[in-house]
Amino acid sequence: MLLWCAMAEESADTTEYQAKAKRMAALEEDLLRMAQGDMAALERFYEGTKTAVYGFVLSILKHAHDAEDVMQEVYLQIYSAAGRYRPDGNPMPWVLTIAKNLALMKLRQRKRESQMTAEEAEAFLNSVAWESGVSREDSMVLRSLLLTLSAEELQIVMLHAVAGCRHREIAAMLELPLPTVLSKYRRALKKLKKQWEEGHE
Amino acid sequence: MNDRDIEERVRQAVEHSVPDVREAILSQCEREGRVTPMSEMETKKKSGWKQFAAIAAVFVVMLGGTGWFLQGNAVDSVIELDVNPSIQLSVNRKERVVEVKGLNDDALVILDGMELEGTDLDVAVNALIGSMLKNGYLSDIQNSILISVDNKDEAKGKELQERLMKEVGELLSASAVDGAVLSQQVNHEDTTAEAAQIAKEYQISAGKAALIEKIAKKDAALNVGDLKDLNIHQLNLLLESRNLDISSDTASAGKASDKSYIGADRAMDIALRDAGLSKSAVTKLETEMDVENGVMTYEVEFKVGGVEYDYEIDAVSGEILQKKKEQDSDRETSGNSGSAEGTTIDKASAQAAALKHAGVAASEAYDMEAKLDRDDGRTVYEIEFKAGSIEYEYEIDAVGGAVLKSESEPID
Repeated sequence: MLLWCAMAEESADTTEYQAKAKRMAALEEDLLRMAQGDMAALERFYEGTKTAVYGFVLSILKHAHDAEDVMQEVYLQIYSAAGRYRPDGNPMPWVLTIAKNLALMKLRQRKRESQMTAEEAEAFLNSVAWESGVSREDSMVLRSLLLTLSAEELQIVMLHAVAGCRHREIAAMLELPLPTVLSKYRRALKKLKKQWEEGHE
Repeated sequence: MNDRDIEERVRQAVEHSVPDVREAILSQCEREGRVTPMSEMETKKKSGWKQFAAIAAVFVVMLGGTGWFLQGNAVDSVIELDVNPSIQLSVNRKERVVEVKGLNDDALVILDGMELEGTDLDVAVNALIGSMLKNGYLSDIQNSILISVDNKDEAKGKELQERLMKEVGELLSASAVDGAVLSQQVNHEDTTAEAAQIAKEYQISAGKAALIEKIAKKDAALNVGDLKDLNIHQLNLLLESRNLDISSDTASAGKASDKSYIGADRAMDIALRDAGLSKSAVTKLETEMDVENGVMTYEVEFKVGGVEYDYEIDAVSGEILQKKKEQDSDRETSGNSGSAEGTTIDKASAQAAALKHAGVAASEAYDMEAKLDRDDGRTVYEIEFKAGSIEYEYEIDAVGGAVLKSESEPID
């Protein structure tokens, strides 16, 4: 599991916890190197964080091509801002905040509502979506995520399940009260469970 | 399928579909390196703010190395710019920036790579507004900004406040944004003031805390705990929508945009449609913005006959978050005196009346609670139960069994 944000509390499994801490320390180290212009560090950092960044950006934009554009901008910004990062043991909230801001900027530029109707979303997905080397099963999972969940539910699921953020961290990042995040997360999982169990009978 | 399975499935799907942009990123970073942060990424139009930013960047370069700013950097005024990024600038008597502080995470994004110490205040403000536009914190859908000035000399502070307000308004219109600019005077040294306590407790700027305190004081329905999580734009929308007048100590220019929300009219339609009523059939129709659990909502109220309706509608999605139906209190009293001695019903009948009203079979309801209570001088049963994912709350008249109040909301 790629649990980045999560650093404490759910550390019943000490080895897993230590592995996480180690990974975070490595990412932090790479950020510091990036500030010195180390391209290899940037490459490692990219590989270590790309899934979390992409998932989150996609959840805001709901559009594969836009998400890809923004992803590039995110790493450019991370690279140029690396010198301003203040090490605190966990760079993911910083990274995801940059991702959020750039994704929102894109959203505003395009003036596209984050809440599309189901038909619009379907049309989008059919026209552009996941043609490039994404398996049918994965693209169906993504499709049902985008169509089933509300914008906020989707962001919360991506931040928790993919980026490994704790609900408290998600609450801070999305500027929502913690109980709202928790209940939206529960509701989202319930929806997905329903959808997938029905779809697979 | 359990939660872990679902999470794993989502994670796998995303991991497998991440586009490969590694080469593009590496080559761009190599080419551009860490240059002037304001000119990265966007190279299309040269809009108004970009020119300001370019000027600011030149100033930074010119002045950065000279070290002149080491002289005379006693702080004269402290200026805070709040949008959601919250930035504090301390300037000396010559209005040169002595210190810049980012007060929240968004501020760090804005300040990214900028060295504003030593520049003139207006140059710094230009650069900051430019960065806020560039990063999407200020736009035509989110157009509010708060300027707070702290200077011991009140007249001087006032003059600076007015000048900054005008300047920021002009900067925004140069970028085709109709700004909604709020400004006020604050006093950082008065740590006993209520606003100072709020600022300290919630780690927000003194300026934002002062604004929140003014709003909460004007409107009893809004509390500091809810307001603290809103950005300036959302606060400004509440001010406008609820007609709160704080003009005695806060200047305001322009109108907060509600373009990113569904709008009062649409909210009204949603509520009326849900109630199955037409606009002409109801009276006292009112809509204003509100905040519920940190979510911006439209509160729609109207009356039909003796019944008051109250809806809370998510301002972005249009989802109905809560609805209430209540007997008009005027009628309540008159009805009461008229039929003083009806039959007193028992708890089971009261529960049955509530279930019938909700259209829920007794077998579907769970977590049923019922208790006898006094409300407005009459005896009522307070009944609560859940069915499916909805929670219901009723008040049933213990005399006669009429439904006096019904409420339902999703449990989640």
